[in-house]
Amino acid sequence: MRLSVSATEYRDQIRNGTVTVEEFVSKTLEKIKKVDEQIHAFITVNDDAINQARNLDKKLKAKEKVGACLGMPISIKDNICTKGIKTTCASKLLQDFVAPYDATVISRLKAEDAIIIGKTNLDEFAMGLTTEFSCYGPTKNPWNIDYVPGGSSGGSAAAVSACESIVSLGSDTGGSVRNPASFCSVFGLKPTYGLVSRYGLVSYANSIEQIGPMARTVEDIAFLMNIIAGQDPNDNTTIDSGAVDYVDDLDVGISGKKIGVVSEMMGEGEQKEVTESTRNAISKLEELGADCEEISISEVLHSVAAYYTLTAAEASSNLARYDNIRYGYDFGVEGFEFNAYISRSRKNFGDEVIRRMLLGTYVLSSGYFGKYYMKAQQVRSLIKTQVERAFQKVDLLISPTVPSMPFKLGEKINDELALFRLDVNTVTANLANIPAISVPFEVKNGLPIGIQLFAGHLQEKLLFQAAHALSKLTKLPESPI
Amino acid sequence: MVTKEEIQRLANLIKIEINETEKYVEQVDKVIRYFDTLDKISSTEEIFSQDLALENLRPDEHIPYKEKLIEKLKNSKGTFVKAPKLI
Repeated sequence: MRLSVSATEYRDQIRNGTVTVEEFVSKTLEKIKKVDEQIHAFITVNDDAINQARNLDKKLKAKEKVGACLGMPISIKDNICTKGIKTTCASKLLQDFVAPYDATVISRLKAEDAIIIGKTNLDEFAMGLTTEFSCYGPTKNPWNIDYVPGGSSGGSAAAVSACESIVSLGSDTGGSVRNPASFCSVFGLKPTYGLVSRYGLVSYANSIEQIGPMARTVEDIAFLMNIIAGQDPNDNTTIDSGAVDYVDDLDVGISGKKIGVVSEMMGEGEQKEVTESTRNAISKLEELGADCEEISISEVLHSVAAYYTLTAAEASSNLARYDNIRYGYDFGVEGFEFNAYISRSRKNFGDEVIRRMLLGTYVLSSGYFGKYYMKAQQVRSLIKTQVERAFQKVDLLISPTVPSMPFKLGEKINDELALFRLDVNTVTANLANIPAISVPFEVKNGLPIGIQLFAGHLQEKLLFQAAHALSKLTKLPESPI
Repeated sequence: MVTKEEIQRLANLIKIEINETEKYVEQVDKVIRYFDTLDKISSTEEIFSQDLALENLRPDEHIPYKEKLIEKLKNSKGTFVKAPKLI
């Protein structure tokens, strides 16, 4: 039995009885046991998965109605609440937190009989892009365990890449789904803001982040979006997108489509191999009949500074809830002065989280608010305007997902500004609320390179069609692990 | 230039005990210098805010929760929770 199947292939195999849910789930658990000591994609593995698989097999045998996922093992980033399974956010402050409810995306997946195989590693509270800032230690890249898997959804990307789950859900605030997707050679989508409910996603920067699927095929991304997208009364930032079937017509091709190559995201400061790959992808898309032209979105140059200002500000306010009174851990019962109690417990935030809270408080404090926070909001508005203007001229935009290939663990951990620069191609989609997908495109020297495609507001269907066309041109090896 | 006093004041505001103030002074200063590029933006640019539709809010209903949350706490006995003494 092959674990490297797509969701579609898995469902076919279950339906025609070549494999049972229990067989597949137990084989997946074996794989996790075998490789996760090296990769460390998971924080928690769901002990109950095998029982759930057996129950579904019984239902299938009795010809009872079973949901579309048919017991497919899915991994979930550990900042998405799952009832009865720990949700730690890779933070010491939440190390024992068990949510009493499911996030909307989880209840939708459960209604379709997906099996949560485990919760995946991340940078603490999703703040980072290498998965090195986890209080449980880093995840390693399945392509080469000396290298970072990207982040912050690094555990999810590694789990999909190493066949420890068929698909996964991550969250993307500034590239946290697309960056690790690119580094681990899987597909990763940041949906239009409001298309997927954030209810039950532990908040980091509410006005920017979205939950997004990660998978080994575009079709699987589309399949997951059919399940998780849609309005939710528990998140009033969700929008009505109409009844779109994302899987239908995936194969229409991109002939006649106009694709803008974002000048500010090409060449300068970029690793040579990445630029070459992107040029190669562009010429292949042209061979398929797409019309590619350079396009400028000048505010991209300010996007990272604006992004970090806004997210640090929102984070400093969101993390104020961790006072160790409603969530947290035991301290003993000796007496504490109220403020000392809180500050002593909050000392357990990791360095990166403390840094962002300090920054967020700084940019919001009187005297600096106008200089940083308001300016960042203005940049965000300018980016939105420029992106809208670009989509009046073209149907899609293209860039490398990350300007660099995967790098070694520890290489950039102490260089904040070097890490910032890695975000330059991804944050624009978050600031402009538009969808973007990372498509695995090449493997050079044993390490993956991903290409990013953007589409206009709610144009996911077009985005998937383009990503599908591009991916059909590639023939990539499976990850070696 | 971000100062040690500023970092201490911010740490008090966010209620975090920090020991290595110097380290944070240096790191925060480096990032703030980077944020300074934002200052070049013309300040007349209009800010779009995202308006939320207020007509489709969920009904304000009590949803009964059957499980006992108190049982999920580590230090509980009956209907009591053991907590540290705060002054």
